[in-house]
Amino acid sequence: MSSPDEIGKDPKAARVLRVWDSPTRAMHWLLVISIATCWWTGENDELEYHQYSGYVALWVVLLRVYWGFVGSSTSKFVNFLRGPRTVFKYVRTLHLRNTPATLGHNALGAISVLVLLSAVAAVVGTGLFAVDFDVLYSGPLSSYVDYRQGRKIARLHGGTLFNILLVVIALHLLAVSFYYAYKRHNLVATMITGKRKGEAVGQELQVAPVWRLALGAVIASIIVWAVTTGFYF
Amino acid sequence: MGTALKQVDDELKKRSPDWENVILLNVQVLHERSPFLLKWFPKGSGPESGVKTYALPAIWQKAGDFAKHAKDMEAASVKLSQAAAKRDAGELKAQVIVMGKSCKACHDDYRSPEYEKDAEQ
Repeated sequence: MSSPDEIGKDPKAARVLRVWDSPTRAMHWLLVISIATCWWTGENDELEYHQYSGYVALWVVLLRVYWGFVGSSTSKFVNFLRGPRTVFKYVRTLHLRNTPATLGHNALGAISVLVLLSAVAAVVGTGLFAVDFDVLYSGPLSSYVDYRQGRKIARLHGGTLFNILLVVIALHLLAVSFYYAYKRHNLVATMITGKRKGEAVGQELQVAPVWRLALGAVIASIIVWAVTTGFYF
Repeated sequence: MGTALKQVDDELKKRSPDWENVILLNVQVLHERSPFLLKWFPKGSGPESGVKTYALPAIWQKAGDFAKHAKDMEAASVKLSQAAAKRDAGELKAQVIVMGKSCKACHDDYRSPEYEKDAEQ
């Protein structure tokens, strides 16, 4: 094992590593696009398209959770969620510029994945029950709450919860910028290409079979479809 | 009125909607109340009255436009009750949307966005 300050000096140590599989990258960017669309359509009162983009975000969150259980190695929750001790240990090395990068999410990034997914789930989940003031574009599950409750949920959805999501996204972008500027890790490029240069840290990316992704996509689609019908079959 | 329209809309999602106890009753509420809209905002009931109101001054400044929207809503409520009387779920659903749009037409332009912020407390 080379010590941290030797990394980058030995060209033989650095090679191209595969970090993220294509489904995880696609889900990441699809979530970015769907949330941006939800934001714009929500602010501009385009509620019909707001609903569609919300369904896409729901679909992505469902599939990502599924992928967190049966997906490729770096996407699985068991492989990146760490206990508080490991997180603190990692935080103490945060100021070091030359720490070896983890293959996949680091202990702190793992928390951000959970928090981001939960925040999106909370905004989308309340959106399903939200009642439109003029009853035109209420969420598909709004018939399970009354008008007043549904209006409260709508304000929570577009107010407090969405603001929390914005804060979490801002923190995420801040962290990515910090890694780029301070640690010289281009996390955006890795999220696009799936690869980065670095020292092999022992594990390799284990890509899950395509049929498993297809199965998850079908399950997520069925759930989203069922939700859009309000469970009135 | 939002509650009434929502109940009609919700009931229409069911396989066998309850026309007698839910749809017709709520449609009746909408039909009976719609003509009153023009009487709810008499001249002088704006901010100058000193009473807190969420009605924007535009109601009186563009009285003609407001009256036109109010008449549209009344017409929508008539068509709504006609569709309900026929017990035609497809036509009623279409009229619910027309009705909702007629509500929105005024709420967008003539109601203060503060309305719900204060209703919260």
